[in-house]
Amino acid sequence: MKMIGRLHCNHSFLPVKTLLFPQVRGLHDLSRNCARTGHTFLKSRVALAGCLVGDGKMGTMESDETAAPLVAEAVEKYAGSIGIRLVGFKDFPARTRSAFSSLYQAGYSRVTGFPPLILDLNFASFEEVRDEATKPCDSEEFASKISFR
Amino acid sequence: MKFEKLTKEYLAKLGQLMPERVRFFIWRLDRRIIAFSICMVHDGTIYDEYLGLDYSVALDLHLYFYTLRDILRWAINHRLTFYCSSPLNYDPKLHLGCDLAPLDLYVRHTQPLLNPIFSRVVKFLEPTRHDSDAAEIRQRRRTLRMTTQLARTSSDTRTPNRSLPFRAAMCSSLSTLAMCQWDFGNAVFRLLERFSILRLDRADDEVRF
Repeated sequence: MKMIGRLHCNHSFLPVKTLLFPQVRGLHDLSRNCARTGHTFLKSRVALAGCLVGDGKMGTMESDETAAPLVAEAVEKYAGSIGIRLVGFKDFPARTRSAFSSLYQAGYSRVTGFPPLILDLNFASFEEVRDEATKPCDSEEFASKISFR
Repeated sequence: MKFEKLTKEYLAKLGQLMPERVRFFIWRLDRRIIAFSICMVHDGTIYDEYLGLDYSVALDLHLYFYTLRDILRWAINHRLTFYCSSPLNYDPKLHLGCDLAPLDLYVRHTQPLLNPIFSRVVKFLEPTRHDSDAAEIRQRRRTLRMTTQLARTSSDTRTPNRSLPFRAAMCSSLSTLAMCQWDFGNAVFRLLERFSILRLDRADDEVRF
């Protein structure tokens, strides 16, 4: 993507044909039954932009605040050019939410994805990890640890 | 759950294209491969991507936990700073002290007329609402929050606030409790298992799971 002759970002878009909402059992079964008759109900092509490994890298020279609307505009143009109606930004960490506020204004909806798990390896040995894991835990602290949002 | 099939060509290419990043871990029993893991190392973080287990022995040997132990041990020995695991199978990882790193997806329908409807519908269909593992964690979180509020408002000082049941509360099924039988060569986890079961019963009574 170039703006006024200057390279702003080098971002790959991924068109995928996917079952919409694969986790919803009823819809999944309905779609599978439709597929047997040759229909592609609830299957759609989606143009995906973003971080496929979920570490929040936009691959842009600019800040995420500047880059997000530019990437959104580009992915929508790309989707339109190949007849895709759904566009998405995939797997950005929740801590980068403020950088994507412009997407709300553009009509995007935020959906919670399956979060990965992270362990700080500030330990001298594995035995320390194990000992830490068996320590008592404050209920409120633990509740905050298991938040998907 | 759907398993992906990784071909020999994929694995060979991975090793050729990014030898500095990719790490293959292989566990053997009598020279037979019984577990296999692919990890990526980047910027001080190890990403645990794929795991393959020989299920004829995996459950009896608690192989999953041995793979986790060995990868963590390797990462600590190589002075890596973070271990990042792929989503799902949350229960044992949370037991080990891992933190969830919430992820967002942003979606939009390019038809201006359809997008308002789509945005309302998509909220109810988001994947984590309908996955049983995730739904269970949500339920536990609600219960923990409720218990904490009750403990705050209650004058009963016997209500436990800092105790193991809150970790053990994650143990909700027999399979999970079986996972607690992970034996590292000493009795700590065996003790934890006994403790968890005993305290879980108590937690059940207290917070009405």
